[in-house]
Amino acid sequence: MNVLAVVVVIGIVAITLGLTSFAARRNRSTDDHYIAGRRVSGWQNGLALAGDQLSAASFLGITGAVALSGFEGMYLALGIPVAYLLVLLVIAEPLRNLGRFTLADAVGARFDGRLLRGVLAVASLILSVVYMLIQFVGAGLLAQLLLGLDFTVAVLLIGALMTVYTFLGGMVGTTYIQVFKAVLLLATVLVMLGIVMSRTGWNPVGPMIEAERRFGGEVVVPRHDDTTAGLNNLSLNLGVALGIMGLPHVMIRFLTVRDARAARHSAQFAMWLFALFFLTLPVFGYAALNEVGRERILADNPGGNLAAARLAEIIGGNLLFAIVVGVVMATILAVLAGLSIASSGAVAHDLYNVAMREGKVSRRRQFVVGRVAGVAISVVAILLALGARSLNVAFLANVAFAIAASTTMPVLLLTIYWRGFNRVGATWGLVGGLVVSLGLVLIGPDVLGEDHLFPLSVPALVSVPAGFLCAWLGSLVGRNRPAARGIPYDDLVARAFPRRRSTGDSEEVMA
Amino acid sequence: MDERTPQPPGHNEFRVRRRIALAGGALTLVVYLAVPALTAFTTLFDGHLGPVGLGYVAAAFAILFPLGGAYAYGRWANRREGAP
Repeated sequence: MNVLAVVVVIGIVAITLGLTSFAARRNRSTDDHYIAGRRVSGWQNGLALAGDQLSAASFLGITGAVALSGFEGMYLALGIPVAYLLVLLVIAEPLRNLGRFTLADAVGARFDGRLLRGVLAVASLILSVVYMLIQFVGAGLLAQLLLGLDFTVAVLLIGALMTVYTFLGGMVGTTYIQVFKAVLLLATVLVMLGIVMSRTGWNPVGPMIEAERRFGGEVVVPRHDDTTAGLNNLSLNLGVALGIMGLPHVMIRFLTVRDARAARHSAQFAMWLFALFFLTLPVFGYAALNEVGRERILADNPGGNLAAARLAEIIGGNLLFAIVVGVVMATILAVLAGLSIASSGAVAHDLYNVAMREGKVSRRRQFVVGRVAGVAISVVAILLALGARSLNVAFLANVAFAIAASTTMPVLLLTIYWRGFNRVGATWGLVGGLVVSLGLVLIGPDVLGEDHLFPLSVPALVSVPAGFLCAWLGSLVGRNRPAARGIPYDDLVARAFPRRRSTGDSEEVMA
Repeated sequence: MDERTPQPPGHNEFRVRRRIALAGGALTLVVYLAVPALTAFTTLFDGHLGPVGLGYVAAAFAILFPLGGAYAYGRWANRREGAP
């Protein structure tokens, strides 16, 4: 066991618990618990978005993938900035104006109906639990490899911490933790970049040049020998670019800001942080290849997931290694806290209040049910993670993007922008997109191996058009049903895009 | 109508807003997906620009051009709201 790494992790956990305790004093109402009372400023939300999005999987996975596969690993780093430009252009402001506590509220602003709300809640829940599963299994394995902790103990400890964060701190506490983690991660990345550059003549692309010189041009040039791999990369990038718009735990962050201007500012601020982070990772990848070596990286982990940590150890000694381990654990905890809030909101607000009790549950009771649901979801995710210990769940992250891009994203987009859309189309789009995306994963190479019936690991190239097609077909079927039309489209537009004029601290409606 | 009640945007205003969202979004997606498509299926980015592989130049473009788009959109939206 690396004692220094354990001490750093304990120190970081202690700080996050302190932040949660501070936040608990401000977590008094349903609004506080789910959307931080809509008091979060643009730059705070931008940092929290970075805290949500800059995951351990990106930091460790992309560095390792570039170290082992060269340019092929870079495909994993491309999608997030453009995904947030799409969020900014298409969905951030109307979602912020239509949503209340959850993603489903934006659809519910146009269409009533318990079935639709229930399906939306289930889709949100599936996406959140899939993401949680990846985080728990990843955290357990990393704690085992880096800290020498038993997998089960690590998962139980992390699950308990996640439950405490969200039960006590709600969205306020989650925001604090995500801001803290984003600052910590970016500071660590900058320190590592400085040390790496100092060893290659202060040239940021020095490691890439050195890798090409030592290992040949093939480590920096894109490969063209596998059409399926090329299509898979294209599908992966389509899924990431569109999937962010449908991920509940990311999109509810836009409900926490005080106005549309803050929503725009937060997305722009986050995008600068993403660009800095994702441009740095290939530098670390090549530095790891040069400094750690391919054999050592493979010996640590066949997927290359410890390349970043080993690089830190070589260039900064045990102290930097310990800090990287602590930052990775903080990263996982912050992402889990965001997931827990989103999924408990889907259960308490969408499933329990709207779908089961027709919206008659008091806010106080929703607050209590939300907290209980958070604990229950944590227990389910922990049990799933303990069962999935020996499975390779890394592919699920990209699958989650593809599912979101095929289900919630088309329904949100068409709800806001298509006059002819109706409730039947929304339900068909959700169910159709979910069946096609999950079905293609189940008959794909990650599940069936060599006997696969569908060649791509990430099904977005097929499942996104399928989700839109199902929504369109459903809208055709439901066009003669008055009850499926929802509120007049012009009324929705008035709510989603109100004419507003900023007056400094707040907005006022133009007379 | 209550002063705090959102006013419906003018017909033209919403059309502009929708065009920016959908046409701008579609254009963004096409430009972005051109990068993985061209790097994976053509030899266009197999060379070097100075010491850096052209594939990485294209990848940097895919990561950085959204910042320009976000800046332009932010300026337009702030002007629309009459904010400085």
